[in-house]
Amino acid sequence: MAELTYRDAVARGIAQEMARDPDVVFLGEDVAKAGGVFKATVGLFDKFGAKRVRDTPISEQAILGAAMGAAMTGLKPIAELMFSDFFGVCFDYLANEIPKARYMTNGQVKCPLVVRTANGAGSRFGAQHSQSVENWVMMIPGLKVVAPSTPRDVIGLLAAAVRDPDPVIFFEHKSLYSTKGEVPDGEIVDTLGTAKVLRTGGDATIAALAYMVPRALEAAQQLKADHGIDCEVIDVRSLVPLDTQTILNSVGKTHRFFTVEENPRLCGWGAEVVSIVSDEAFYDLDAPPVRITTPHLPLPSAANLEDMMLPSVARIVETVRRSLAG
Amino acid sequence: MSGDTALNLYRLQFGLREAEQRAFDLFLQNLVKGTSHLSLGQEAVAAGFAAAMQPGDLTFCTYRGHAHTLARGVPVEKVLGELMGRDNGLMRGKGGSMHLTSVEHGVMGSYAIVGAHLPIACGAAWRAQYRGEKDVSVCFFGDGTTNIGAFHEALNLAVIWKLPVVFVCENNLYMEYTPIGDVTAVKRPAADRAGAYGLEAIVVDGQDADAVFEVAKSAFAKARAGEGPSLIECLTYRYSGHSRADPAKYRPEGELDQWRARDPIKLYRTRLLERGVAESILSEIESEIRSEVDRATEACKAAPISSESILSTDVYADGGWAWRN
Amino acid sequence: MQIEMPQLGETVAEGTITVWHKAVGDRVAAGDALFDVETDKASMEVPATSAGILSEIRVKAGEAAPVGAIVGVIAGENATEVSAQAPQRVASAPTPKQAPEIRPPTSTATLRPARLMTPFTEVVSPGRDYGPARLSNGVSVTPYARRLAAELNVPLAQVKTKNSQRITASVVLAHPRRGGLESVAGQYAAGTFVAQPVDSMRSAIARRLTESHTSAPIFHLTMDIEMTGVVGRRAQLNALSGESAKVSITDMLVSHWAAALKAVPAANVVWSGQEILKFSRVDIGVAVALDGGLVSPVLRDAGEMSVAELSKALQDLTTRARGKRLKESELQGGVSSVSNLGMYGVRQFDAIINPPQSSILALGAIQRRPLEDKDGKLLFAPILTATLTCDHRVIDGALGAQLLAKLQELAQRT
Repeated sequence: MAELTYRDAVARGIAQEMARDPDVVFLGEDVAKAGGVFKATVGLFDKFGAKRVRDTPISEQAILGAAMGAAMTGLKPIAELMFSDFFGVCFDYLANEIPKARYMTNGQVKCPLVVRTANGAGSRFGAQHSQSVENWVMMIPGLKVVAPSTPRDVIGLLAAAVRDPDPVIFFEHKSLYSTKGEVPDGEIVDTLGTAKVLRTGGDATIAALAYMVPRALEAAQQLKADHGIDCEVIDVRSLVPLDTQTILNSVGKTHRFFTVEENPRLCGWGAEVVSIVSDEAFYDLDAPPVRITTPHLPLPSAANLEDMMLPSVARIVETVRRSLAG
Repeated sequence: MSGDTALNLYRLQFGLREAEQRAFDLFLQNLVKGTSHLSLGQEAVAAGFAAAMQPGDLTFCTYRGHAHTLARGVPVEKVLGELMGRDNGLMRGKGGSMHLTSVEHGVMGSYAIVGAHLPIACGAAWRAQYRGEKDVSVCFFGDGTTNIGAFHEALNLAVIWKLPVVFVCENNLYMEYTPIGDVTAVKRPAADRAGAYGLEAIVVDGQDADAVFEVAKSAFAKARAGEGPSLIECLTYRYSGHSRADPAKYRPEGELDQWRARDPIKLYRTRLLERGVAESILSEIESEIRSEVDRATEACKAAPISSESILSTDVYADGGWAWRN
Repeated sequence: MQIEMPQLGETVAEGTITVWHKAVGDRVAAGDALFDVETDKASMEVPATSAGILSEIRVKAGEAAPVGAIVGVIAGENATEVSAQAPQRVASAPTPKQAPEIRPPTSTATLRPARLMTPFTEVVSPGRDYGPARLSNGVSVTPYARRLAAELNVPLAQVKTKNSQRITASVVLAHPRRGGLESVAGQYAAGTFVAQPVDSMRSAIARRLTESHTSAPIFHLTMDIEMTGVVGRRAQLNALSGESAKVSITDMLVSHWAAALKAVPAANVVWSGQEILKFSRVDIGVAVALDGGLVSPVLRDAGEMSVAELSKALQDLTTRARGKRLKESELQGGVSSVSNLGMYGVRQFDAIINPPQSSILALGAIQRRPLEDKDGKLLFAPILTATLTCDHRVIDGALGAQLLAKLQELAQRT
């Protein structure tokens, strides 16, 4: 067992898979010699060499296109997009090429690739480098989408993503890179499509993702200590495939559902989850399901303004408390 | 060039013409729905490159890809079946005219988004280089593609990584409905960009299958030797409009006739006869091809429409579509 | 074209498909039997109304769906020139893949049963409707509270809340429940019993008769009927008819009962809450024992039938009841019913009224009993004990006695 930072877990996860399978290759901007702008891929170039760890020009379309071509013809590429906001620059590959190739060709073509990207706010990078955009790819049929919240989940889900024969979009949260967590020794492989109940409780279910998970956990602690409300906290981890069973079972127990979402309000990942809960678990609900989200505004740069935007522990506590009181 | 190769080139071109013409006719009979992008008149490019390719080499082409698909040996019936939305189609009707793919024949996809496949071809070439495999990725696109971002990203990457990929621009003078000269900063849309990427400017008469064949051979040899990519501009012409919807009224008077006078198949036929190939041999090839196209047509007309049972298959590798448990 | 769950009867909201006669991929002609559907009271066969291939089954055998729900899809032959050229031969392509079953990942709980998901049933709404979100008194109820109220038998209309606040689960849980609620199975040692599922007929019997038993104020009147006359007339009828279908004692008594109701029209009524419904014709239900249950098909206009006609009609209803082929309408209505347990040797019993009827006549076995004749002599005669249960809201004691006496009179005439 060791304590590892989230960023070191990224490098460890990639290394684990590259060591295991010679077909795993890695490309991106400044990822090789520089170890990545977030220092999340330090050491890989030295360990695996220039053939397998490649620095690319600033060419997001070429990065994803090349990853796709390599995957179609036998390799297992990991492609890095430095900031998830840059999906906008290469969205054709995420929306039109990679997810549809297998279906359109009636199963002939495969795309066993992973796109890793640094996602989310909290680091004062401004509106175009801080967005939380898991929902941008959740909505495209043919992709898989994961967003780990701990170092251990980074390694386990990255390994699962690399081994998965389908294209997986892997969201690392840039504001979690320096967080630490316990990581067992040896190989770690998790399962895509599985959520984790991090805290059990009977009064309310709170589903959260990535950077919002630690906030949900802290809010649950305060709700118990200060208001006697016992919450069950679920780390959703995987948006596609979505572990609806864990969520529905929890609502079946608590009868109250909340999501904590970093994405702006409209069409965030929680909208779909709440829709499913409201339908299939309709008769388990004792109150309307509530989404706690970032408001539907571009993200400001100033620290205090950015902090106001994302769901805070206080906002989560107050929302849950008020809902259960009335 | 050997006699066999020449005959093969003729066979290829004639076959592409007959099949494409049939696709057009079926279209007019409303048996092919949606849209179709025909390459009538551009056969020499597809045939010339295909003849020079080895088994294992990979084709990436655009939505104007029927000829490139057929030229790699995909049966006419499968192509027509796909266009007609039948169960016997190349993808059983799931992809359609713009996405013809046959991994078995090395046709790694026809791509409908302009320029998308250029970086993808680079990726396939990267894999060959990485594994020390000797196949070449051949990427076909139109003159309009030279102005889209992905073209430039792909060329740059191919050059700096010295990838075994050959980029073939079929310059048929029209972007879609607009003359390419109106929208391009340079005169030769591909050849005049080559220098920006440190590549040689190569232009070839796209109506001359032999000339195309020779250029193709030397580009493939360069790629296989690890010397990196080539960018080749083929001057050619399409007889039909951009797609079905386009009657191509934007063409100046007489232009179509001018190009028909240089029809690649007529040219090649004449050349073969001049070289001493017997008329009977050519007629036999032609009637064989016509019968096959007729047979394939009837088979497709008799085939059932796409099966509802494949509606939700093959979204994911497990054959299914499950996004939730 | 979409196959809908058909209209199953005025009061029936959903049915359970018991069997599909066609499988996905089968060719279907208009008129072919497609599936059977069962409701509380009857089972019916549903035919296809158009031709084509059954391309989808959305509600499987054993599953229930509301009236109007799409239970399947028949892919019709297109009317375009394309299909005009496509013959009926099956494609020789490789075996088509089926959309694979969704398997829940291993690390989640499996409280919910896995189900086969189709692209058009990605999210499945609850199968049961637990009632409206707002009660007739204007108070709103959360979905969970509605479900709890149904499961715990809490009458929502009687639940009090502060300032007509929304009724939540805790309010329902705090409310006293109707009927005992400890788990019955929990009172028996595990392993000593087998729990059988309740089918729709049993469920209907339980629900309707509980309602009858708890809502109608009833009383019973018992009278002995000297049956020599009935037995004799029956023998005559059967000798005369010579047909294989014989008139039974029940037929005779049902016929007399119809005549009695005709003669005492004040008793040919039912209680409807706000009003009393008076009928001009006599419709009588007759209890028919089935395998595992009981139904009471209604003889319409029994007052105008001859015994032979009545016997035949009852025979037909009985046969169809046993084959579960009764129409929904044949189980509705009626003012009174007759139930005969005499064939089992039961001397006397009190039957429970079939709601919304106002009375039920229970017939016991014909037994030779001693009686004193008008001259004081002891003799034995065939006696049947009849018990009439009446709904006191609409039939008072004297009226009920009058009605029963009329039956005795009609039956005992020589």
